[in-house]
Amino acid sequence: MKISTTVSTALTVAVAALLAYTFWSGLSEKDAAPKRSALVGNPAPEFVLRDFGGREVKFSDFRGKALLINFWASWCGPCKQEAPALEKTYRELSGEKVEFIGINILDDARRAEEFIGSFGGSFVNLRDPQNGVHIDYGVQGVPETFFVSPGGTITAKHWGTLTEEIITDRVKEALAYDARAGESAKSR
Amino acid sequence: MSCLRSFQAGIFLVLALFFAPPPGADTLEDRVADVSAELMCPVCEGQSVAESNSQLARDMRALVRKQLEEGKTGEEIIGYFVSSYGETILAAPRPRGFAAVLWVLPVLSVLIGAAIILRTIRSYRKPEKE
Repeated sequence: MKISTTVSTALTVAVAALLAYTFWSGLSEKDAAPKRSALVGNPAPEFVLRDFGGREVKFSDFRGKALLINFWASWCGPCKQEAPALEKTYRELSGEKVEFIGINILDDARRAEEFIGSFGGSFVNLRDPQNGVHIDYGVQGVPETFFVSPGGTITAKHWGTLTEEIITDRVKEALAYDARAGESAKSR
Repeated sequence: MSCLRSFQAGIFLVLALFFAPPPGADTLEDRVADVSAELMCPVCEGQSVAESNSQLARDMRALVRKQLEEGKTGEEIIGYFVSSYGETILAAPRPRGFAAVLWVLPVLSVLIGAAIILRTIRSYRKPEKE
C-alpha cells in the first residue's frame, strides 16, 4: 500500500510538472520567439517568370547583386502604403550591387499594371500566374519581402508594410552577409 | 488456454485492420488528399490544405498533384513544404524534442491506465481466494 501511494504521488507530481512546463513553454514561445522564415540562411529558390511586357526574367540574371524580392498585389492596402518607400529607396540604393524585384501574385494583370504605373515602377515587376514561386518562398500573404545576399542566400524576411529605414537596414545587412558568413566559417 | 488464444487472435486482427491501408487509397486524387491532409493551410484557422478552399490551399493542392505526377513521394513533397514554410505547416508535429511528449504521452497513459485496471481487478480477486 505504501508503494502504491508513493507511485501515485510520483505520477501526480510528474503530470503536474509536465502540464506546468507545457503551459510555461507555450507562453514564453509567444513572447520570446521572433517570427522567422524557414528559408532564412538558405539559398533563395530559383525562378523563371515574365514581366508585364512578356519578357522572361530569371533569378540567376541577378546573381552577384543583393536583392529585395517583394511579393505584392494591387488589392492589398499595406502594399499601397509601402510602394512609395520602395520606389524612393530603389532610386537611392540601386546600382551595380543592389536590385529590387517585385512579384505580383493573386491579382488581375490590368489592375497590377495600373498599380505599378501609379507608383513609378522603376524596378522590375514580374507576374506569378501559376502561383508556384510564392509557394517556393513560403509566402502566406501580401506584402512579404525577402532580402537576398549577392551570393544568393536569404538573409531576412519581412512580413507586412516596409519603411525606408527597414529597407535600407536589411539591404545593408544583405550586402554584408556573405563576407560575415565567410569570416564565421573561417573562425570555426 | 483456447480462450487466451482467441483473445490474442482478436487483438492481432484489430491491429491488422487498424494499420491496413484504406481500400482504394492509391488513385492520384486519393494521394493528393492524403498528402494535403498532412499540411496545414498557412492562411486558414485550423484547416488543413485538404479541407480549405482558400486560393493558397488550392494552389498548394495543385502543386502536390503536380509533384506526385512527377514521381515524388509524399515524404519528399512534405519536405518541400517544410523547407518553404517551416514545421508549422505540418498538421501533426514531428516526434522530436518536446513534441515527442505528444506522441509518448497517450501510449504512456494507456499503459498506466491498464496497470491501474489490472491492479484494481487483482485487489477485488484477493478477498475471494481468502
